[in-house]
Amino acid sequence: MTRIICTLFLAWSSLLAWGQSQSEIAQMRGLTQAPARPQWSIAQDNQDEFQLAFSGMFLLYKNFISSQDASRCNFTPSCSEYALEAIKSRGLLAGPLAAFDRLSRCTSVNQEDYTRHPETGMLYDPVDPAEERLPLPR
Amino acid sequence: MRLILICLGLLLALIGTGRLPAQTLPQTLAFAEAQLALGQYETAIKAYRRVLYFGGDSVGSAVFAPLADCYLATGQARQAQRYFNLAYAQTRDDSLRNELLFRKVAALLLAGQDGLAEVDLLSVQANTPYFRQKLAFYEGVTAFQREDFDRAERAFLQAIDSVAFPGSPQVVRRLFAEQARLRRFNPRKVRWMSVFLPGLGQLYVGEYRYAANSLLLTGGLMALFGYVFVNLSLIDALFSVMPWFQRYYIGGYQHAYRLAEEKIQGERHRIFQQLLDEMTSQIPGKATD
Repeated sequence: MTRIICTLFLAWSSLLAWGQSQSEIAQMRGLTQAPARPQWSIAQDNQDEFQLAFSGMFLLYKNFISSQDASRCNFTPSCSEYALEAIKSRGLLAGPLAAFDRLSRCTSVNQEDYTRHPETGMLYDPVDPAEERLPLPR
Repeated sequence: MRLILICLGLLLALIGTGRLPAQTLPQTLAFAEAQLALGQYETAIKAYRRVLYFGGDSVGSAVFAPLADCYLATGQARQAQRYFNLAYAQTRDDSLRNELLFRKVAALLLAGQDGLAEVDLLSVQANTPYFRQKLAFYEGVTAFQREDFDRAERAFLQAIDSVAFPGSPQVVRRLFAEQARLRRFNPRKVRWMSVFLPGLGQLYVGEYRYAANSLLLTGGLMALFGYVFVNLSLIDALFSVMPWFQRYYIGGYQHAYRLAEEKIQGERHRIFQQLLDEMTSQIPGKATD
């Protein structure tokens, strides 16, 4: 009987001593993050077989070649993302030309010609010139 | 006649305006409190700021703490800290001061200012079991964030209720033992493994696909180097294949370093979430998950 009373008392006192609410603990959950693996949304929503083929090549390159390389591209979006986006938006003739143009510009000698992307800190050079006019902090 | 009517209209309008009931400060404060209770934090912030603007310092004690809570709930940790500081300065009650300190510590932790959070915890007067438990929890979280895992383990063991949940200390000890084992994924060690043999570091951290990828890519380039050397010349091989080999060999061991960092980050995230799960399962009145 004494043991039961003692256990009940201890359980009751432990209830009184509890400080955290569920929301307080939930708030702390955001302190750590699981590492995020890149998701290439640009390779989705293909309109025809050509786009599908280029998206496949892009994913193959990103997964097996680019992943083994140090970060070397100066731009946001990267040259491979730019190429795929250009092919998707400008077609099979103008798209590759735009991609080659971008590759020729991917050097470290003309950095003053571009704004820096606020999130990545890289040079900002979108495929669509309308996006370039977005106000970005220098 | 028209002029008289216009003047009469203007007069009536002025009288009407004078009698229009304006929203008083207590009404705005009640509205802000209602919005806070409903979880409409952005609207509550606007209302509280309005009360502060028109009420001045006299309403501060009623506004600073809930306003800080609203900022904390909307992820604006720096603003939350500011108003918790103001609320703390205006409060004389020890228990309330402790609660405000804990909420400020939460804001500091969310803002990534672990050092300041640790300093603020020193001001807590933990004179009751309730505050001792709460202090131990925040000390555990802060020490975990500062990667002082021995202290974090001691604090979490103190924070859990080992009387009502006798299995909890084992869970906490097991999680911290898992954390201690993460030392074997030292990114520098992993990088050196990949320097020694491309893909070895990736294999060590359990990334088998990347391990095979790195080994095949650098191995293929090495084979190409040998082929060009045998069939053409050493100069050809050095100029045409070597830069590519060098690029992917260096990229491979740098990638191994990043993978080891990601492995540690992912495991640490899992361990921390499980610690919080353990704490959540002990909240009185909540069923164990």
